[in-house]
Amino acid sequence: MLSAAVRPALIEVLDMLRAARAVLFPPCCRFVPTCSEYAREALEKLPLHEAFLKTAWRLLRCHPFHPGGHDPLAR
Amino acid sequence: MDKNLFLAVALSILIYLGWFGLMNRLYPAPAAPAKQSSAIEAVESPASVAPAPTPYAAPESKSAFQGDGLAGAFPYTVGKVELKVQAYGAAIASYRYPGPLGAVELVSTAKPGFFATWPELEFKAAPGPGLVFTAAHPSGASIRKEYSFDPASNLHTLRVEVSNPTRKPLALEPWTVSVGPGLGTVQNELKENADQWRAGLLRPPPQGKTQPVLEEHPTKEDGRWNEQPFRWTGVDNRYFLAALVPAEADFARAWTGSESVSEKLRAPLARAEARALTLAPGQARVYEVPFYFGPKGYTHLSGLGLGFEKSVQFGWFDQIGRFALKVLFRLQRYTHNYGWSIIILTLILQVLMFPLTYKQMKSAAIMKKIQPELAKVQQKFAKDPQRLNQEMMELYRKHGANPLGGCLPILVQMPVFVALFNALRNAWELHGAPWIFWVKDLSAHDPFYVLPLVMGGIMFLQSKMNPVQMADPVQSKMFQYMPVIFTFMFLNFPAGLVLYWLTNSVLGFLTQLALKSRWE
Repeated sequence: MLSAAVRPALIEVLDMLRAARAVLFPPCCRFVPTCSEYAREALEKLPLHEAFLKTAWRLLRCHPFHPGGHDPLAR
Repeated sequence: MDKNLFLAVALSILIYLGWFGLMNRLYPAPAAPAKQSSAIEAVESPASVAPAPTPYAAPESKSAFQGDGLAGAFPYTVGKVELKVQAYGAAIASYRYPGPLGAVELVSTAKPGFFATWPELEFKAAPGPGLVFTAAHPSGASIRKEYSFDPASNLHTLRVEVSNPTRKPLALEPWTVSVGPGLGTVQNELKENADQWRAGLLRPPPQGKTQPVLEEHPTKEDGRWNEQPFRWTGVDNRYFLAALVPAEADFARAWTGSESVSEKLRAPLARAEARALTLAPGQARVYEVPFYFGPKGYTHLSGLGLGFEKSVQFGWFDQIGRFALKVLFRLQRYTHNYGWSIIILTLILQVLMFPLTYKQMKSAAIMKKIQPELAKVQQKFAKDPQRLNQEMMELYRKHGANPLGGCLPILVQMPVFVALFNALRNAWELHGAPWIFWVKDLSAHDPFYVLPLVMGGIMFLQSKMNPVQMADPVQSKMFQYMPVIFTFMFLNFPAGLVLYWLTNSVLGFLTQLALKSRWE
């Protein structure tokens, strides 16, 4: 299937982005696990479209008006 | 996150910096393609010797060109532009454009020179006013070529008249006007010029679209004929554009590509090809070809309405970059200084972000109050960082105080930053645009590195003022080094960009001070 080929590539890209962010910006995430950890876990475990949607929703919530806190990937 | 990651990142940065330093040293970019020293071929060939009828040279072959650049070229001054036209092909062999930091030679290789037509033919300067050149074509046709310059807009006109003075009908094979090879640029761009220059053409909007499309072709390629209609064709680099706007009725197709100008260097070249023509005895045909030859000022090019502004490219987040530049131009009309305009733009952005900043700083203030509780939790879970993080987050949530701003604000800022970077790096308007005192050119790095160092200092103060609590000691250590990393990164950035980031930091710092005194 296509996703079998795409998935590792996406994870690779995500890891690069995480490394870049770590250098360029101070820690910023209001959640545990952080958005990028969350995204990586979602990419590993969920169907691609679901992983995208969940990650997008998580990122949209990660702003100063949301209390943040413990928010693991729902199974 | 562990020590290894920190090491890895630090090492990567060192390798990155070291590698490019080394490569620059080992393989210095080719200097400005040197003008051919004045060999005398062109001058010595006496004009009186009737040349054997030269077969029309196909555009792919440049062997027909016998001229030698500046030797024997006719000098002219038009407005503040100093230019030279050489006899062979009546081409522009030198074009010194008055930039804000001194004259810029835009013709990087005078063979065959810009806007050459029939480069194998020797033209004579016609007496009288204007830049008029005449030649006799071996077919029997007479050619008259006239340049008229408009130094105010840099949109000039090339007028080519082909007439048949004989008593027989004349068939004239397709001929071309060429742009390039290469294109000169300002002093501090020369190093990167060979990566920047391209030959290209502007296509009319595809079906269902409203915007014309710029097609640029890699300078490695030999070249290709483009048979589809086009609006203009030419050569550009970061700051300059030389482009022809031939009428479709006269010019059928364009050739874009490159040719070798020295052993190691290929330079982009574009040609527009006129349609084949048959002239009755006594008949004449006039071609009017508007052409642009000058800098790529975005608003100026947009104002010309010919789609030249498509040659200004801002890479990633192009649209945001164009928008930011428009705002800067508008502000500049009031401030008459791009430095202050950048500062005002930053101020506007900060005001828009203020609700987020306010919220975040309020959390930081509450943090101070729950410090004792936090310390307790930290002691309790000192051995289990993951659990500790979780408990800390829970504590923040309970008090409505999360010291971290969230990923979204950063995600939003990143495109703005990248777009501004590209816009400030590529905008001709900022070239040689001063701010105050020692900052004479916002597009080049600060000559005394004052801006980046001050910025690093302020970031350092800021990080001292609100130390971020982090469970992971390596992570918090890395955060401490942020100002250093940033300072190094910004040392060679364009001063305009550092000014943006510095203003950002200063404003953040001041807001923090003001709010802090209010809450304490």
